[in-house]
Amino acid sequence: MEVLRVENLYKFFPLKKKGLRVHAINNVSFKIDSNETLGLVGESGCGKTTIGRCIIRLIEPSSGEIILLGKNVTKLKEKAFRDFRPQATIVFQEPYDALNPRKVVRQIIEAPLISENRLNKYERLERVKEVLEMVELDETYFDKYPIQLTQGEQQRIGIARAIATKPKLIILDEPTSLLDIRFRAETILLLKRLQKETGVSYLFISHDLVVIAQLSHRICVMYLGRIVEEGPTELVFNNPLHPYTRALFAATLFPDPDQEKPNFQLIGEVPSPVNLPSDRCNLYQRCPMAKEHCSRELPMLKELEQNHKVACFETKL
Amino acid sequence: MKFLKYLGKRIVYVVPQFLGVLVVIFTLVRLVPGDPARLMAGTLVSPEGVEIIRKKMGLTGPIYQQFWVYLKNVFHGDFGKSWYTGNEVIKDIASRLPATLELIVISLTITLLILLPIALKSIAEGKGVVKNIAGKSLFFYGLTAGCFPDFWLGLILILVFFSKLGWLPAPVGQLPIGISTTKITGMVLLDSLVTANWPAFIAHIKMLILPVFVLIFVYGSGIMKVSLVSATSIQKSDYINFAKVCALPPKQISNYVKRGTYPATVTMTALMFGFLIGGAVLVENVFSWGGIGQYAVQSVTNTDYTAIQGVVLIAAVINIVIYVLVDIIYFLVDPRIEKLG
Ligand SMILES: Nc1ncnc2c1ncn2[C@@H]1O[C@H](COP(=O)(O)OP(=O)(O)OP(=O)(O)O)[C@@H](O)[C@H]1O
Ligand code: SF4
Ligand SMILES: [Mg+2]
Repeated sequence: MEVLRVENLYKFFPLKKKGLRVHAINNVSFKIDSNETLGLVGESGCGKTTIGRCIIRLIEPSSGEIILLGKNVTKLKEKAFRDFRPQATIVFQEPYDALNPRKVVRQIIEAPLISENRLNKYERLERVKEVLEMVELDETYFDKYPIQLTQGEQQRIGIARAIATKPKLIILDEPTSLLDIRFRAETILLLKRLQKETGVSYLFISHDLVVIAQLSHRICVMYLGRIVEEGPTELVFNNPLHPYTRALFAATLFPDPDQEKPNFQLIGEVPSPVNLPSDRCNLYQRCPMAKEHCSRELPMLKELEQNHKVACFETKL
Repeated sequence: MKFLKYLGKRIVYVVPQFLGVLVVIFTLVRLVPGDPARLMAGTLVSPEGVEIIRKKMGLTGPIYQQFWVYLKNVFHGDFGKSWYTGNEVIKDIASRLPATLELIVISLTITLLILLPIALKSIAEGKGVVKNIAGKSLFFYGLTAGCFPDFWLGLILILVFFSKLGWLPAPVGQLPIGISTTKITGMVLLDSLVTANWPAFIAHIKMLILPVFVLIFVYGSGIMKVSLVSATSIQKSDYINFAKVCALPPKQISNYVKRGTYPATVTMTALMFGFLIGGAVLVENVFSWGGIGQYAVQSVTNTDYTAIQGVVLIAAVINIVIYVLVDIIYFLVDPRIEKLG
């Protein structure tokens, strides 16, 4: 069953100077099924966070459609969208910043339940206890303030809060990237187990291919606000096709001593996303495979093998 | 119980702080170039006379003995005599301090109760006329607050509202000539209020308007800016984002933000308070307020060492007390401190 579908999403941020705007997301479409994890990978600034925040309405998209649980919620007024809020939650990157420093754990996890207004006081407390146990903590944490917890525990509270209302979808915005290395693996394992237990879907955002591979069933590779390659994790990892993806793989160190190091590099730096042209491939100036044609037309995603899509004119299987 | 324990601990820290202040003041007076006793005596006193004065000032004998004498005197409330006013310094200070404190407390209170809510309103979520007006006026205020020196602004306002328009009384102190109050606390506002001396009360308020305005205008902006910076960074934080994601009422969210700014606001207000004890000097002078700031200036121009020592000591003590109060307020508004002990 389809949990989320995003169609032709755009987001522009106007800048102070008239006529200039950041093209943060440019025509992005994807879908996520129930019990599935879609990994969104790309360098810093490519628009991953913006996509996640558009879905849960922390940011208003410029155009495009968001279909949540079969209902087009794009045009819904905030009041009507309220019913969907418990269904789609988020875990943030910075565990401490995500928790109100003035509230204790019990209050933090209870907040979404109170807002949802489905359970009574007693049931809510039971639910808080339950989700704490699901993230391998217990009642003794009820009255602790975030600052008294380790980073790993803080992130567990963030996760417990996100699953409290039994959502169908959780946006995981780099939930491990700021964690101390010893907390990373346990957090990934926890997320995996929770998915198995609850059947929740994840939109997993990360700039790190290694982490993405551990959790995602499918991945989308983003460059400058566009998806340039999409496919099942296996296929993309065994056979990265788009020049940007290949460069990303070449630049990543995998925990595998036998890894062949492909030598594939792009030229120069990521250009600015301000007033990005949409009549050519955005990788044109940096791409070693570029042909003249690439500067005159924008490549669209094309299926090259089963479910494996690439947006490039020159890539052949 | 926890509170008492915390308070006890906090007060223990005051002892070394206070001793430190005493050592600094004691040393400074002995480091100043020239001979304080000679300066105090003036040119007409004989060397023997100077020697007597020196003894009186506790400037003879070995240094540790001098410090011991100084300590004993301070703890007996004996700060020495001002040669200029001829009074006990402690009495001089006691009669002037309330006027300064009143001025500062009123200015800071208005800053916190009026300026700050407007400032926070201006960065609140959403749109609205009030927000718009608040934003525009604060922008203008922010631009101008930094560029007027306090005494200059005071003089200009006197020129406009007293000399030209005649709306406000002459800047001759806390009360116009011919009106007086019974002295109880030394703060005219309180004294006239408890004795129901309405003419004095109203006259005093008229005298307060300009100096209070100047202090708020020039020094309130610091507090306002610190709170605003704190508020905007909290607005961007992910715990506020999560509150929005689970659709908490906007009222509750703006409360989270407001409460988050308390530590920064309290700190900045305390700093300002401490600073203004001596820092309102020029404003006091312009309005002939007769407070401790004016006394300090007068002591410095007259090289009145005992008076200067006294003023510095009192200012330091007030600062120490303020910081204890700040820590107590922190303890009460911020649950994290209690937990960490
Ligand atoms: N409020 C905003 N105003 C203007 N530009 C913005 C705003 N938010 C994001 N951007 C820009 O949009 C682009 C995408 O930002 P986004 O945070 O989505 O990237 P990201 O992929 O999550 O990066 P990171 O890995 O650094 O988190 C960036 O160029 C960023 O500078
Ligand atoms: S379309 Fe052309 S420029 Fe773009 S990635 Fe493919 S080869 Fe390179
Ligand atoms: Mg991001």
